[in-house]
Amino acid sequence: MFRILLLSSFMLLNACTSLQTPPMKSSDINALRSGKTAVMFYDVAGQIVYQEDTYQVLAITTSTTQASYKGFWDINKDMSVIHANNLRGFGVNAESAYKKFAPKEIQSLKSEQKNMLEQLHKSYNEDLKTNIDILNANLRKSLVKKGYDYLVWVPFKGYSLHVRTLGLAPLEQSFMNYTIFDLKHNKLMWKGVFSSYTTIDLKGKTSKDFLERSNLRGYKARLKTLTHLIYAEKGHGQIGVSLGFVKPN
Amino acid sequence: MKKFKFIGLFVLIISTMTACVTTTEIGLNRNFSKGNFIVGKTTKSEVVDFLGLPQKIEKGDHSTERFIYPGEALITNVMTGSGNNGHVFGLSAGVNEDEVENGAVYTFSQKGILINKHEPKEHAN
Repeated sequence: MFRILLLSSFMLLNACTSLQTPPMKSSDINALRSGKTAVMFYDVAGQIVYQEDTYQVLAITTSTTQASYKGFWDINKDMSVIHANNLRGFGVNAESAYKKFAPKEIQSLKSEQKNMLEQLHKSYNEDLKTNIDILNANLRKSLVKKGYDYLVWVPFKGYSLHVRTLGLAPLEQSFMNYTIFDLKHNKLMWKGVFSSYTTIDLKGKTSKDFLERSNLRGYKARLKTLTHLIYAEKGHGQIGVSLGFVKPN
Repeated sequence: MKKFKFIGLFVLIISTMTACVTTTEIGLNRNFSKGNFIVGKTTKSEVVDFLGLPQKIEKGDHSTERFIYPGEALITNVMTGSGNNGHVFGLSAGVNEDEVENGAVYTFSQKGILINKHEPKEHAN
């Protein structure tokens, strides 16, 4: 049984390996702090993934289902505000860019960001010197016109809640890309990925009740908390240290 | 011989388990008919309040939306321990989001009113 658990843990940890660029130089950080930064969160999946393990004596099975929240929560707008608030803690003059776009523009931004994500995937294993054009030219011009110097673009790959068996606590996982662009010089300054693996107390509720009840109150609260942790903690693999804003503990 | 033993065990596990796993902790509400959803009256918010969020939302003609609810969560992984070896079988290739076995489909107008529904006649919990 120990081997099963070990194998399962290995599979989980394996999912977050990807190239992360080194921390930014202090000159880049100073420039970022002196300019105006737009934040754009981009939810790729639009769904919560639920998993449940069942102990079957001969084996453990995992059942999976999804819940789509498209049209029930403007996640891009709300999460951009949360990321901007956390970035301000590092002295960055950041705000959500979505508030400066009209609803029609926001709709077209979705397809532009979809293309940008494809470009980002192509550049996964390339360093910053490789000139793969990720940032959409129209988006860049539009953001510069609105007075922004930098863009923090956060494609969110999804969230899952896994109820385990054998007395193990439920596990929540989330995964996001994180990129910073210098808009005026059309330059990628930093790119990497951040993921969360944390156990959670569902307080006796079912997974769906815990996250979805009262207009997704639980899900919104969890994403806010997980985001804050990625910014607040000063360990390796967290935003502050990875980008070079703070020194590791 | 060892290989055949392993394959035999795998077939046995899959065949006996895929049919009988019911999730309880996820909290899927499959009592579709107990919602008493009325075509022409019930709103999508009322459906979501009763059943939770759908597995999938599809856009249709004239800005209609189809909410697809599964009858059950699908098995996507089987972990076994046989002898000194642990094995994990990923079954994700078998997941088909469009397939709603024993599930329900609700169609809503642009204004969010239920205009069509497909529910299983009887569902054993």
